[in-house]
Amino acid sequence: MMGVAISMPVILPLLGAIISLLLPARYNNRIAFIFMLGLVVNAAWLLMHFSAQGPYQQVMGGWTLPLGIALRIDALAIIFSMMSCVVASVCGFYARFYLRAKQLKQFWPFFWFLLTALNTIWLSADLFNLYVGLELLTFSAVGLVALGQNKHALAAALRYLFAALLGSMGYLLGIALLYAQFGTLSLSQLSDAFSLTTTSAVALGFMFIGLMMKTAVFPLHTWLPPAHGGSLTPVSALLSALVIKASFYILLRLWMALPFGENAFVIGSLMGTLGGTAIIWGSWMALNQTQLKQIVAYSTLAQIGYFMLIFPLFSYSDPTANQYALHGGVLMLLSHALAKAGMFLAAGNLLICTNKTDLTSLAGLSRYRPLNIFAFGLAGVSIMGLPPSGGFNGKWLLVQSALMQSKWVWLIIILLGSLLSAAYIFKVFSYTYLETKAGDKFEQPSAMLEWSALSLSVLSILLGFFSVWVLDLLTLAEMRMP
Amino acid sequence: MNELIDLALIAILLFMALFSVLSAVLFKAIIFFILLGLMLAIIWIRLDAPDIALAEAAIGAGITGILFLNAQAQLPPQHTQAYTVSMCKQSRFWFALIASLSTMIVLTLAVNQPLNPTISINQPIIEQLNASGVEHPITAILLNYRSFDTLLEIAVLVQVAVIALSLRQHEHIKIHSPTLPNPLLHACLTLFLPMLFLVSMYLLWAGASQPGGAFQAGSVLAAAFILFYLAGFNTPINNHELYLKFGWVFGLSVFLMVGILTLFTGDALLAYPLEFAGVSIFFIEFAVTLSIGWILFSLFVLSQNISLSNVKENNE
Repeated sequence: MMGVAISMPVILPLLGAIISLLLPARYNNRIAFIFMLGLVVNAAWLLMHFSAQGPYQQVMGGWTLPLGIALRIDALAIIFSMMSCVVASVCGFYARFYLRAKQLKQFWPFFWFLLTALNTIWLSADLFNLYVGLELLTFSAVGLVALGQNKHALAAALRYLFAALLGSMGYLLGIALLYAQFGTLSLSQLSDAFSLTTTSAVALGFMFIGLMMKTAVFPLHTWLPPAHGGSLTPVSALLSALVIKASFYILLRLWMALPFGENAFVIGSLMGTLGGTAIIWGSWMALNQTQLKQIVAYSTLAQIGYFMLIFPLFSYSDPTANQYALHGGVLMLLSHALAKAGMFLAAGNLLICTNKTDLTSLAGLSRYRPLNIFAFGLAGVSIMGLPPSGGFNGKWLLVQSALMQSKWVWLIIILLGSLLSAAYIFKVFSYTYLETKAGDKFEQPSAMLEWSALSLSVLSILLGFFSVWVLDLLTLAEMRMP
Repeated sequence: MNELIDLALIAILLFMALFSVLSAVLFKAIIFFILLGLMLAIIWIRLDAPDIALAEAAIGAGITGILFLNAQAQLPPQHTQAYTVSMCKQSRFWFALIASLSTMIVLTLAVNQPLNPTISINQPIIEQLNASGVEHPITAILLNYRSFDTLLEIAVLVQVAVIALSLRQHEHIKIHSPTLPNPLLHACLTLFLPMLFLVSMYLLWAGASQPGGAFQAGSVLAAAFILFYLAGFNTPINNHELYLKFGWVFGLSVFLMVGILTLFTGDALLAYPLEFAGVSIFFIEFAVTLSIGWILFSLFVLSQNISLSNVKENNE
C-alpha cells in the first residue's frame, strides 16, 4: 500500500500528461480536477502515515541501495509536495479561466510534466534521479514561458533555457565526480561516506554553482526577470512559486545531508553573502521598475536571498539556532510560494483591467477593483513580513537565529530588505489610489480569476496562524547533525 | 604507443571544439561540430564504452547535426554571413574564455586525485545480473536497476517534441515542402531503407546481451524516417497532429503501464517479477525505440519551414 502511495505523486501527473496529449481538449479540465484531487488525497494520506510512523524510504524496482533509486517521505518532502499541490491546483484553476482555448490545450501537458518533475524532486533521494527531475522541470518551464508566443517571450524562454542547461551541466559534472569518488548516487549512502577532499570539493563547487544558477541567486539571476515577468500570468505564478524552489530544495538537501565540518562556516557565509546582496539588489531593482509584473519578478530575486540566509545561520554551532534557521527558512519558502503566486495572479488581474503593463495606468483601480487590490495587498503583507503572516514568522525565526549566534550582519540585512520590500509594495499601492481626470475605462476580469488570486493570498496570511503545525513536522531529530 | 594515440585524439578533439566555436562562418561551425561528435564517439570506444560511442555517433553527431544544418538553412541570409565584429572585442568572449579555462584547471585538479570509491557498485551490478532479465550490464542498469530514471528521460524526450509542436503553431510562413523527385535517390532508398530498419531492430535485439539498445536503435530508425521524408515520400501520417502525438507517447505509455502493473502486483514501481523481467524489458525497449525514432523524426519535420496545415495543402 505504501509502495503505491509513494509512487503516486509521480505516476498520476505523468498519466495526466499522456491523457492530456491524446484526448480532445474538452476533457482536459475534468481530468485536471480528478487528478489534482487524487494528488491532494494522496498527499494527505502520506502526511497521516508520516505523522503516525515517521519517515519512510523505498527503493524503486525492488532493488537495494546502491543499485536502485530510493524515494523517501520525510518532513521536508511532505511539506513541499503539499505546497506544490495547493499552488499548482489554484494556478491550474486560474489558467482554465485565463488562457484562450488554444493556449490552454498546450498548457496542460506542460503543467502535468511540471508536476511530475516537482514531485520527483521532492521525493527522490538519489543524485542522478534529481538531475533527471531537474531536466524535466527545465523543459516544462521553458515550454510554458514560450507559450507567450510573442518575440519577448520567445527570447526570454531561450535565455532561460541556456541558463538552466548551463546549471544542469554544472550539477551533472559534480555528480560524475562524486560518483567516481564515493561509488554511490544515493544521498543517504553518500552522506555516510562523504569526506571533504579536493575532488569532492570541486564536485560540490560545480553542483552548488549550477543549482544556484537554476535558482537565480545573485549574480546568476539575469535570466529570471524576463522569464518570470514576461510570460503568461499563471505561468509566472508557477515559475516563481514552485520552479525556482526545486533547485533550491536540492541545495538545502545537500547542505543538510553532507557533513562539512569546520568548512560549513566559510561556505555558509559565502552563500549568505550572495543571498544578502540578492536581497538588497533585488529589492532596489524592484523599487525602480515601471512595469507591474517586473516588480513582482524582481521581488522574487530578493526573496531568494532570504532563502540563502539559511546556509550561514544553519552552520552547526548551536542546535537551537540551527533549528530556528531551518524553521524560519522553510516558512519563508512556503509563504513565498503562496504569497508570490497570489501576487502574480492578482497582478495579472490588474493587467486585464488596464490592458497596459506600466504602473501609471493603474490609477483609479483601487476604487474599481477593491477585491483585487486586497488580494495583492494581503500577498504584499506576507512578502514584506508584517504580522500576522507566514512571511513574518519566517523572518522572525531567522532574526532569532541570527540573534542567538550574534551574527549581526544578517540581522541588519533582513531588516533593511523588509523596509525596501515595503517600499516597492506601497509604491504599487500609491499608483492605484491616484485619480485620473480622463474617465476610467477598465475591463473586468472574471470573478473566478479574482477569487483564485485572493485564495492564495489568504492562505499565505493563514500560514502565519498555523505555522506551528508545519514546524511540528520538522524536528531536527530526523535530520542529520554533525 | 597507446598514450600517443590517446594524446592525438585529445588534441584533435580540442581543435575540433575550438574550430567549431571560433569559426566565423556558421556552416563551417556546424560541420566541425559534427566532426567533434564523431571524434567523441571514437574516444568513447577507446574508453571501452561502446554503448555511449554508438549513442554519441547516432544522436550527438547524426541527429543533432541534421537539426543544426536544418536550422542554418532557414536563417535569413544576413545571419549566415561571417561575423563582422571581431570576437576579441566582445567582453563576453573573454568572460567565456576565463570561465572555461578555470573550469579546465579545476577539473584537472579534481581528476588528478587518486580515486578509490568507498562503495563498490560494480560487484552488486554483476552479482544481480541474473535477476535482472538481461545479460548486458548497461541495459540492466538502464531498464531494470535504474528504470525510473529512464522512464523520466523518455518523458523529457516527449516533452521536447511537445515544445517543438507548440512553437510551431503560431507561424504563418508558407514555403513549399522541399522534395527531391529523383529516380536514382528512390532506387537507392529501396536498398537502404530495409537495411536501416534491419540495423535498428538488430541494435534493439542485441541490447539484451551486448552494446546496443533503445536509444541507439531509435536514432537509426529516425535516420530512416528522415531519409524517407527527404526523398519526397510525404505520407499523411506526419501531417496530422494526433498521429504525431500518439507516436510520441506510445513508448512512454507502455513503460508507465508496465510500471503501474508491477506496482500493483509487486511491491514497488517497476519491480518486474523475475520470470517476466526479460519479456517486460524487451516490450518496453521495443515501444520506446519506436517512440524515440518518431520523436527525433518529428523534431526534424517540425523544424522544417512549413506548418502542418501547409503540408496537407501541398499533398492535395
